[in-house]
Amino acid sequence: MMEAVISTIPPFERFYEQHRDEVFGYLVRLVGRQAAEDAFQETFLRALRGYPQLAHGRHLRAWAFTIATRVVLDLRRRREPAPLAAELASVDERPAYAELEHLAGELPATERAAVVLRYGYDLEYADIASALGSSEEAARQAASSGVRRLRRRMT
Amino acid sequence: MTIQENPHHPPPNGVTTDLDARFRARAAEEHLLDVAYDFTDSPIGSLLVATTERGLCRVSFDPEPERELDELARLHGARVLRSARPLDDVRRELDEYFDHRRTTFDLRVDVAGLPAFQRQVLTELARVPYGEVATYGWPRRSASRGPHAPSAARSTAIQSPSCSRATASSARAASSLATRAGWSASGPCSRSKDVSTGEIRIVSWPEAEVPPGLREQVMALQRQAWPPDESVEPSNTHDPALEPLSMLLVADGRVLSALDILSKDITHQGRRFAASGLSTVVTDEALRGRGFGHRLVEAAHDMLAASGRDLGIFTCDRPLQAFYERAGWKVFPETVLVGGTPAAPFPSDRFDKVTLGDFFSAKGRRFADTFIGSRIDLYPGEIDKLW
Repeated sequence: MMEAVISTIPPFERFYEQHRDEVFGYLVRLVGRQAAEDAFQETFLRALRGYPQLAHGRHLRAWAFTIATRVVLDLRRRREPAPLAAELASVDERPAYAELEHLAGELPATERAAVVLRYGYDLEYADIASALGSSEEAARQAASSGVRRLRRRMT
Repeated sequence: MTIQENPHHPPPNGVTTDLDARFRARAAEEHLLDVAYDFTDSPIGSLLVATTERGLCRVSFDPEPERELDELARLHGARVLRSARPLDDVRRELDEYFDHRRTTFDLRVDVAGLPAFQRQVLTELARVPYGEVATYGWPRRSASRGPHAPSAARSTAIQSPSCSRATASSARAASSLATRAGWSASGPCSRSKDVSTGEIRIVSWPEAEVPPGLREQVMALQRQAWPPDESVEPSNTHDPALEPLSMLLVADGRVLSALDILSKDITHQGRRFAASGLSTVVTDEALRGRGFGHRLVEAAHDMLAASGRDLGIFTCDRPLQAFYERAGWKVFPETVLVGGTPAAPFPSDRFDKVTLGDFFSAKGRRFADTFIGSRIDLYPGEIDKLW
């Protein structure tokens, strides 16, 4: 019974209100504030398109991040190079990661998404994998090689 | 280091109001919403208005947004989003209406989420022009008229046609506005006067949505008529499966008389008919004999006639037969209504009951003879055994 209640698909308004700020913050980290606005709209428009196909209301947060990540990767494929690292916002309550984040803009898009999702938003590797459209192992590797690369740049 | 483009927007990394508004507008522009809703101010308080692509689907007074969202999602689809632009026309027309600059609405209405009977009633109500001295005998297909008094002769003031037209979107629309707008002193609807009791109106809602203040009065009247210890009506509410619609005769917020209309598709001699009947007809004891019950019962007859139901049918205790006949209902001689369920039938000939009714649709009239003098399987269930 609880399961049924929890897994009910909420009205879109509720889903949107719950996740919009976090998703926007994520997009700002990935592509900078300017580009984040377009990516934000695109993310939630895609969410609206996919909403009727949702089978249940679980993992909606990860789902939102997945869409946002795909939007960014799609943008990236169409439009290189990456924005300057200086455009990135760096408000973060996680100091260790925050030290690195201003450099994240220079990582390849996949590694960058993996790093931000893992260390910025605490997503499980399974969810990151689905966001990246890769295996869990590949997601883990993307995150760790991204972090290694960042640390090298710090020094 | 955060780049603050707009010093006024509060969350440093949150969505700006402007971006939020642009997304909401675009979602609607791209036709991705099942329902767009918004709030609008009115002289009667904040209203929640909602629209689908087909038209206005809700106007709620004093809304509880969370509950409304769930309900809208259940009726129309989960993609429910607050978005101002799709409701621009609604807002404008409502503003004009409340400013007395508008008397009719050009809004399309989506009644898809409503039960069939309410849909019929509201569609019918929506036809009545604003400001017509709102007798319930609004122009009807003359073919469906029996030998009853012409509608113009009726004095019962029914504001709901013109007012619900404002919002005819849904029963809720009517119910929200009913109490505060057309039926209150400041409302734009015309009204008729009754010397002794002031303005008298007939208002109607699905039973579950009768405003609590009125609902309590109705229940008090029912307790008065059927004291709980010797209760004829054991339950305070009807079976929701019968789509109970409450009609109240109200003067200055006081319920003078009340009844419920129950509806069900029945099978009679192999044919399906849309049937409705009167239930729990009650008038305040102190006000009996002044024609209030008559007005209400007559209005119910007229509403059913206009709604396109095939027939109305119900039973009453024999002493009340003349009361219903005066209001337009006809006696079906030797006719037994079988209530209860097929497994536990509850036929009216176990009691000293008279069966009354009328035929409203062409189909109903065509097969009228098959009903008169027969046993009619109504089977409304265990709760409303003989509705």
